[in-house]
Amino acid sequence: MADASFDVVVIGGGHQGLIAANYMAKNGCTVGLFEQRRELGGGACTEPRPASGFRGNPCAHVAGFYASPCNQDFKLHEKGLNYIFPPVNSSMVFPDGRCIVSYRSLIWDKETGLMAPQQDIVEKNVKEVERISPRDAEVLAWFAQGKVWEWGFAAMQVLWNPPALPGEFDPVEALLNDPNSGLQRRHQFMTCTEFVSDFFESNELRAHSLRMLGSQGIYPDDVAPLTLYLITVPMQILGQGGGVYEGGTHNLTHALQRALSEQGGKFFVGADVDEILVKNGRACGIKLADGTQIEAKKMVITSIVITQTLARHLRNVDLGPQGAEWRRKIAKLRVDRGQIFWGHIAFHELPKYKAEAWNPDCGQGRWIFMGDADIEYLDREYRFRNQHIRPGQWPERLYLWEGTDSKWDPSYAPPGKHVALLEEMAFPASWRTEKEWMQIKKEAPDHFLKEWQKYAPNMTWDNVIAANIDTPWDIMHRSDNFLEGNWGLIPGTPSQWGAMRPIPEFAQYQIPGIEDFWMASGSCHFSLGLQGWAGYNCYKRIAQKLDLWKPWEGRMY
Amino acid sequence: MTKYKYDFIIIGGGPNGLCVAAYLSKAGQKVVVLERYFEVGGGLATEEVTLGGFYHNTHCIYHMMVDYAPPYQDLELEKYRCKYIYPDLQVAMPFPDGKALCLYSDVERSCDSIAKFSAKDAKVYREVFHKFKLFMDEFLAPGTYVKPLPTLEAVVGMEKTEIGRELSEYQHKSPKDIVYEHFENERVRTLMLYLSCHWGLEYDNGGLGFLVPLMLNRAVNSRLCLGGSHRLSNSLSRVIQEPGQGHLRGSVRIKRIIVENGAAKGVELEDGTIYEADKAVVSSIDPNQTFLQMVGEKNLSRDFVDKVKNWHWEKWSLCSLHAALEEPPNFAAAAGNPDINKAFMYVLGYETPDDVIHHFQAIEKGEFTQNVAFNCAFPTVHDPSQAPKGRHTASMYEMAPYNLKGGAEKWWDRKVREVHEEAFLATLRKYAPNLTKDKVLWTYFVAPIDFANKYLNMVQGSYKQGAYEIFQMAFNRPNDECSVNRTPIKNLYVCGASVNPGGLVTFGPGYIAANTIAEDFKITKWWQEPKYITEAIKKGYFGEP
Repeated sequence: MADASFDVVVIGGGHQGLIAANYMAKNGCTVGLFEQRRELGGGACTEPRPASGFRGNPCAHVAGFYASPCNQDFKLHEKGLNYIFPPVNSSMVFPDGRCIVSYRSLIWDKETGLMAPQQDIVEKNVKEVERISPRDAEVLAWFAQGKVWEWGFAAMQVLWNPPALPGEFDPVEALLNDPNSGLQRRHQFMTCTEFVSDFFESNELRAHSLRMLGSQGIYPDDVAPLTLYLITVPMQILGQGGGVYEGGTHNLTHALQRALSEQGGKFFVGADVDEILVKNGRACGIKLADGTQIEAKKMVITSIVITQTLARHLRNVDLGPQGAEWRRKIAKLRVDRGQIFWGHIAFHELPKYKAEAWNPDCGQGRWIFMGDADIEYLDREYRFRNQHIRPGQWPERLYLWEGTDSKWDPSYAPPGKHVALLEEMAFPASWRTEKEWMQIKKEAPDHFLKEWQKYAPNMTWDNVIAANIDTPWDIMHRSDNFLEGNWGLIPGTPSQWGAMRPIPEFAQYQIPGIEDFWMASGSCHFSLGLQGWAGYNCYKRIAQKLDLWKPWEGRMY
Repeated sequence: MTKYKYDFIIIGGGPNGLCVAAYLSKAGQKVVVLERYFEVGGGLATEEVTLGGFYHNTHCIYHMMVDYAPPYQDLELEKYRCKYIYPDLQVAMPFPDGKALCLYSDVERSCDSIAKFSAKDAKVYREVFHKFKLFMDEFLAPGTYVKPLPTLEAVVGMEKTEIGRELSEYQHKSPKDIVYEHFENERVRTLMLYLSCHWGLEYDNGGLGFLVPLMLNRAVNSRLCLGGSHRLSNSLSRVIQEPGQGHLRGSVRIKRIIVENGAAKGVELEDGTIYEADKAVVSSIDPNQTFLQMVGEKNLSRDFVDKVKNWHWEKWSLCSLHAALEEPPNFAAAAGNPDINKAFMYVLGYETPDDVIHHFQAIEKGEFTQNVAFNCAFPTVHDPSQAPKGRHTASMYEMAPYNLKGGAEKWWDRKVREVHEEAFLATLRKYAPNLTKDKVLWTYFVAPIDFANKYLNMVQGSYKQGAYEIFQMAFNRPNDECSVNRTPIKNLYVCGASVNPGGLVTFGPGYIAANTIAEDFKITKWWQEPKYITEAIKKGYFGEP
């Protein structure tokens, strides 16, 4: 006899789980959502860091979620989810005082969710590049005339839909079949360096692109899924980036939770799910670590990383003749990408970039990348990052990323003060001991500041109030979901992408042989920051199978 | 312009705001809570501010009215996964010589510990423990949940009963006088003086002496919320958000309370959104923001504006240090009594009553004491779920001035913060020598100015929204026109810690406000007054029954 009963039981209260829960509640199901941690949200979390009175987002920052249909399907803006779109999308500043500034060229309508491109701003961005490299400006102008929209549209279709079924091409693969698309088959096998060098001639544009791809969890020497290239190069440089979450990423969690509560769904925090109960080949409930049993009358949806699903939740379930092989493959998934240093420095005075002489707007970037145009160094450095960072040992140069939301959102810092988020690439948590990570963490702010000063000389310790830079060790301890401190649950390398994510057999959000069990998890297609792709795409498959509400019919995705 | 309509609009989602919202929404009223911060709970905050997986209760950790506050039972908070741990050893005060004074939930064990310092004090403690418990059961606890009487009536009322008369005797005495009259041993006096005063009573001022029995009684009745303090606010949120009930809205910036013809009609946000209140607006924030900033002086009488402007913030705030630890503390004093490692609250750094007094004097001057003294807790010793496996957390809370010598701005100085943090850890190491530098994985320092920056209603770090002074208590909290929750503006109610009986997560202001509002709007009370309150009213403690 179960202690409680719901039509739908959802495991994990991150944004993917909340999205799936909301769609099921919308279909009139009773929903119970169970979160292990003290608080819903997973990576959509905000904390008063690095000092009380400031805010920081310890796991994610980019507001790509504005493109999610959930905004309209659940009227999330009424429930506290709002975005800010700073007019400067990104800047790349170089040590010689030059920079590339990209202004935001997409205007978003919160009622309809539609995005309107601003062609004049796109052209302005091309002109900015012209000051650095007239040749690369020509390439960007060619993109801007059509390819960037065509590619962007295909990439969005891929991201906001379940992976292609066997025998089908996804919209990005279809581009490869189109001789006029500007993309060739060879592009899908290129490393990042090859890809950006194929289009750009200047090392400035190449370095800018490579650093941005680093933020997608792929390094210069890696081959990346083509879709990730397309949403980064050239979209970002032409100004088609996302916004930021007003008040912090945790507002995404609250909006989704309120939408769920207002539809009658229930949520439980500090509820550690220990097992998924499977009877006669059907997922029929869960058991919590405290022994409580919860019945799932219609289905169990998990938003937990696949490794935990198999090794813990389904440990007592016979997965059939291929079970042992599946378990072996899942245990061997690649986890060595997507780890970063990510943290906050609170300070008195905004950075004054030397490059403001080149373009006064460069310090207003939503993202500001700092680095030189040395792509050999960048490649070597990221490839050997693991060997280059140890207690007392740091690389000679870093490639920092800065995001200071207090510039446009007063809720982030007390009046007149500021807080920046800084990013650099790292490596898996288990590659250093706890003691080593603590030492590295203590040393990080000093090295970050030294690097920052090369570009903004006023960023000295005198300007600093407090600092706390998270390492992969922190992220791994925040949630068991972030394998090795990976922010996308598992990296989005080509072999773990789309119809192969996490392995081909599980790619359609189900495990063969278990009925009524769905995986709205980022370890299925796809997760990268707070976009909600996996939750939404999983629901699409559920709705197709059970003939539920299909809100995507008649809209872009 | 977007418009929303509710019966009640609650401003501020701290414990009292949530409490009112829960009672009203359970009564079928359409309620929305508007909170400025991104998270509701106010001081009921559990946050990962040091390292991933380490939960820190950055504001309130000692929940001291769990055994009396009606909301726990009324709202069935346990059903909503709000559970408590009640550690046996409530307070430990170790000394450098390896001895320690221990107060247990069990009075006899406390007396055994005190007897090691003074047999006479142990005897007195037993007597006052029972006496204060009686005061608490009969008068002080029920008094936390009933409307205050006008001061004169209250005084007359107190004289009518024996307990009332006894308590009035305490009233006029200072905490120091009370402690010195009762106890003879220096160390016992040190602990009792600290416990009497640290929540906001001035050691040498009479007038609020009746709170000394309350503080000493509550000192051995603290509970730790399982999973962190925020679990309490989470459970309240869930009550409010039961299907078809209330709504919560965070990151809301209120521009003004809409007042028409002397009555509150709703609130307007900075972005122009309007929330209309069919019945009332209920504010749980401080009087300054509610009246001067949101209602506006033009809607208030000069006399009332003066009252609000004369409000005193607290004389001292808290400076706290939260630490992620590699291992639990091992107190030197535990060699003599292993219980010491399992205490809930530790009081560290004071050895004589003069140390406590000097601390208050230093605060007055905006200075630090030479040795940092504070109370602290290690919640993970009792609830391992608040840190990664095998790891621990510490929270240290020092009474500290908001206005440092040279200005509150001095708290921004990173050097000041670093030096002070070192001093915290030095004191801790003096008593728990195993917590060497390498065992402290990470720290998070919260100065009074940081409190004020995070929560706008903790002005100058006033975590009770205003000082505990005789003219700011009971019927005068926040002033004689608002202490029964009603205000000079029709349909505007107040229910925060700045309202009778005060702060510290007692739910007093919220519970009383829920009752007042239910009565004014003829809302059927689905809850029943707890028996101990009914009994106390019958006995005439709070006016003619």
